This record gives sequence, C-alpha cells and structure tokens, in this order.
Amino acid sequence: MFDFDITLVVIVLLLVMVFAGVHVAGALGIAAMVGLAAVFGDIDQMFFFIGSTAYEALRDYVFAVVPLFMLMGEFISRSGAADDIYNGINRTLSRIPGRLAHATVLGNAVFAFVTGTSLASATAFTRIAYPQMQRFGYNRGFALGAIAGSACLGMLIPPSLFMIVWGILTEQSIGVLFIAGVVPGFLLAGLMLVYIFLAAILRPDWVGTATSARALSADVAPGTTTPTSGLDARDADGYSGNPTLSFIGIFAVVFGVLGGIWVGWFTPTEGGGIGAVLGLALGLAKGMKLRDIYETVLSVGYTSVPIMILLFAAQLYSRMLAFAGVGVAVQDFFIGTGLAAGAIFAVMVMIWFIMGMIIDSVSIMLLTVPIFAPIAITLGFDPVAFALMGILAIEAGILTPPFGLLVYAVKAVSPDPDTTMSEVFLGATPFWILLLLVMVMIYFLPGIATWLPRVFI
Amino acid sequence: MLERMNRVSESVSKALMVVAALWAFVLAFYILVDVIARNLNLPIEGTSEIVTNSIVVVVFLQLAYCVHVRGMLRADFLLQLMGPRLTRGLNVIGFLLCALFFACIVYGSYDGAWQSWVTGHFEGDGALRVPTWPARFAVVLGCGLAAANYLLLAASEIAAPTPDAPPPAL
Repeated sequence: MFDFDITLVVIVLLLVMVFAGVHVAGALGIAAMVGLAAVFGDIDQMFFFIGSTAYEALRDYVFAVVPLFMLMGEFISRSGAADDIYNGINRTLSRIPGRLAHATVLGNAVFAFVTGTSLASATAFTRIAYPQMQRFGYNRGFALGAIAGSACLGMLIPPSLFMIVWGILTEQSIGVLFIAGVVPGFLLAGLMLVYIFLAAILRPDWVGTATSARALSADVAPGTTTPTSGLDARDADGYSGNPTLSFIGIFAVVFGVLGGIWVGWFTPTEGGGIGAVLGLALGLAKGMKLRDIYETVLSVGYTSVPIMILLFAAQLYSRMLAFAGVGVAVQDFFIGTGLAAGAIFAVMVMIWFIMGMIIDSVSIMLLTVPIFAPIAITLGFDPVAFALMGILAIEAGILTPPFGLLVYAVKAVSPDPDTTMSEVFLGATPFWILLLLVMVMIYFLPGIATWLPRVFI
Repeated sequence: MLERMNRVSESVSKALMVVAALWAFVLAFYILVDVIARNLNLPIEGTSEIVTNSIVVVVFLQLAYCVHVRGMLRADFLLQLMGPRLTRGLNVIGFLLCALFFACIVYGSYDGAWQSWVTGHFEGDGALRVPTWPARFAVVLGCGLAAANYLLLAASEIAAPTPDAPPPAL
C-alpha cells in the first residue's frame, strides 16, 4: 500500500526537523506518528500502535547489551588501565621514529578490546599521551590528529557500540559482527602505523628531534639517561600504576567475554553482564572507591539511555516505513535507476559522509541503515561486509569538519590552550582517509571482513 | 515559579535515574549468576523475562533525567549558524514537538498498563511468572515525566535561553 505522497512528506518532515535541531528521538517519533496516522487513516489506532511499540520495542534480551558493554568499558576506562597500557607499550618500543605516536595507535588497539566507543579512548589518550608528545617536541596538529584518528579503532575492534546498533537494526548476529571487525581493525591499525612511520621519516620535525627530547627529558627527570625511564616517575594518576595487572585484566576480559561469545558459551548480552562485573573487579583491584563506582554507574545511564530511546524511536519509524511500503519504494527507486551496485554504494557512502559532517554517528545509522541494508542485500552485498563498510564510512564522519565529534573531544581535553580546531582537523585527515581506504579494500575483497567469522563459526 | 518546578522535576527525575542506574548495575550480577548457575546445571527460571522487562523499566525511568539535563542527541550544527532569536524559536518548537510525542505515548499506553494491573497479566511459564505491569507503568511514568520536562525546557527557553550540555559520549 505504498503511497508516494506519504513517503515524501514523512522523509522531508523528518529531515527538516532533524536539521532544525529537534532532538532526533522526538523527530523520528513525530514523523512516525504523522506517517502512521496517514497509513491507518485512524488516529486512535496510531495512538494504540505507538503505545504498544513503546512497551514492546525494547523488550528484547539483546538490548541489555548496550548498557552492559558501556558499563564494562566505563569501569575499565576509569580504572586507569589506559595509562598502564600506554606506558607499558611505550617502554617496549625503543628507537622507532615517532615512538609515542606508534604507542598511541597500539595502545588504542588494545584498549579498543574493552571499550565500545571512541570518545572514551580519545579523551583518555589526549590526557595520557599528549603531554608526553608535547614534551618531546611533537607537532601539535600531528600529535592530536594521531590521537583522534587512532581512537577510531575503538569502534572497529570489538566490542563496538556501532556493531551492536547495526546488529539490532538489521537483525544480524552481534557476535558475528564482533568477529568480523577484528581483521579490518588490525589492518587499519597497521596502516596507521605505516603512516606514522613514514611521516616520522619524511618530516622528522613533526615528531621532535632526538637532541631536544633528551634535553627536555633530563630537564623533567634529572639523572635519567633514557627518555623512557622518565615515565616511571610520572604517574600522575591516583591509581596504582601497574601495567601487569592492567594487561592481565584486559586479557581476561577479552578472552573471557569475547572468547565466550565466539565459542558460543554465552550470548552477547550475557557476555556484557560478565564483562561489566570483570570490569568492576579490575577497577576495584586498581583502587576504585565506592564513590567512583557510583559515578560510573550513573554516567553510563546518562550516556546509554539517549541511545536506547533512539533505538525505540527508530523502530517506530522503521515500522511505519514498512507499513507505508517506503522501504520497498526507495529500494525500487535505487535499483530502478539502473545504476551499477558500485555506483549505488558510492551514493550511500556520500550520504553517510555528508550526514557525518552534521549529525552524530548513531543517529546516522538509525536514519539510514533500515533503508540501506536491504538495498545492499538486494544488490548482492554480503551483509557482514556491508556492515563493516558502513561503519567505516560513518566513522570517518566523526573525524571530518565541521561536526567531527572526536576532534572536538580531543581539543576540549587538550592541555594546550593554543590548539586550534583546524590544526587537529588537518592532523586527523590522513586517518579518515585510511578509514575510507580500508572500506574500499573490503569492497573489493569482502573476505577481509567475512573470512574470520567463517573460520570461527 | 518556573525555577521551583525545575527543582522539583530535577529531584524526581534524578531519584528515578539513580534507582534505574543501580538496577542496571545489579542486572550485570544477576546475569553473571545466571550463567554460572546454568553451567552448574541449576538454571534460574525466568531470567529472560526478568532481564527483558528490566530493560524497559531501566530505560524509561532514566529518560526524564536525560531530557532534563539536555542529554538527548540532536544535530545543533545548523542552529549555530542561525541568529539567536531564530535558534530560540526553533528550540521552543523542537521541545514542544518532543513533549507532544512523549505525551502521545502516554495517551496510547496508559490503558494497556491499567489493564495489565487489573487483570494481573503475567508472562513466562514454570515456577517464576513475571508480571507485566511494572514495565508498562514505567513507560507511562517515564514518558509522562519526559513530556513534562520537555514543557519545562520550552518554558525555560522562552524565559532565558541556556546553552546545551556537551554531546554525550559516542
């Protein structure tokens, strides 16, 4: 019962509201109500439908995964484990040009296994890694760009909030998406290391010079001969600086939680519950107080609930689209254009990229994935590979001006008041180009995403 | 007057938020115990029903506070390019639309909530049967308070515009 007028009204209405700054959940809800009233032709039926959707939409075991994994990540972030990982990796690397930047990428790759969001990594590593890079005379834009860019690994290496949301929206297995992210995540980390290595060789001034580094380090920690040993004295964090404990804790979480999900011992929801308790245990072992625990629990509520409400509103909206036959209509439109699969995909990427400049990533997924994913499957894309490509394209948007969320976060936490937005945006540019490069690689070689899940499951 | 209403709304919303956040925290332990018990061949009955209903309760009880502290996600980029009066106008309209949406949810769901209470509707089978009314009433209460808080936001915006909170962690 597709009606072209309803489609147009509902989609235009939604976009106008979103761009006018109406809270996305409310905009989705109002657009859905208008569409439903038009489709049903009966306002009471519309009220009944939204009322029952509010109760039914989130009543699924899988939704518990969102707050539980966020709780796990938040406990581990606040325990000071990121400091330990960074310092530990930093000590083992020596004499590599751009050592501190390499350690940032590697630290983020490890940290990504316990956090599902990029913002936590970006702020943590700005606090931890940037002061050291500053001390060694790194170029400010390069250093902060590297921190913002490598924080993207948090969304690609499991557990990832984006994969959870994508899995819920497309009814795909979250566990499979988690495994699928491992190879692209490592590939991206590898490319980032290569870029930093090349930059350090070609532009040694970006990573400071050896002489000034030694002079500065001697200045900060007198009596030390190597720059690295200065780190031990500088554990500004109140928690115990114990890399061994942090590494053991993180490996326990990775193998206990992700491993358990992958071999089928438990569901992602159960894994999230176990991970949250393990995260709490690590936090306690590293000296978290009752007050810290209470604040962590509250902050997770504050960050997870807006996402859950969006998930509910998006379900209302996509059910309305299904009733109105809009999904099919848009699919027919795209496929009817006679464009090749690659060209349609390029259009989707462009839409994502442009939206990424204006609006946050989860909202982009909710607005586009219910329409794009079925089209991609009709066009013959592998659903897992498409999910990874979509996540990479949307993620690139949080590094680009003007709305690049990660860049704002890094700038906000940066201890250097002279930092300008354009400096960080410029420094982060090579990193989002790498994200898109990995996306193109998956396009031509879907095995990058689909090989590991096939082997595992 | 407005200030007092804001204070009342803050304390009520915050209390619900704290209860729900702690509930979510306890849920993690409950799930852990369930997994261990299942592997010891002592499955706990009704875990699935308890978790699914809890999620609804946890989310909707925290909703009002997230609205109150302006934690809901939005795109304010274009607003930043507009003049202050236009921004204020759009903010007021946006808050009223959101209030309307959540009020409609209340209108559409209070009857079902009432019925589930009167008829004592349960779900799940076996030893543990979970009543559905707590989750249904959480939707009504949470959306009702959210709508009220959106109205307060609109009123505050008319009285004196306040800046947005920083975007939440993503």
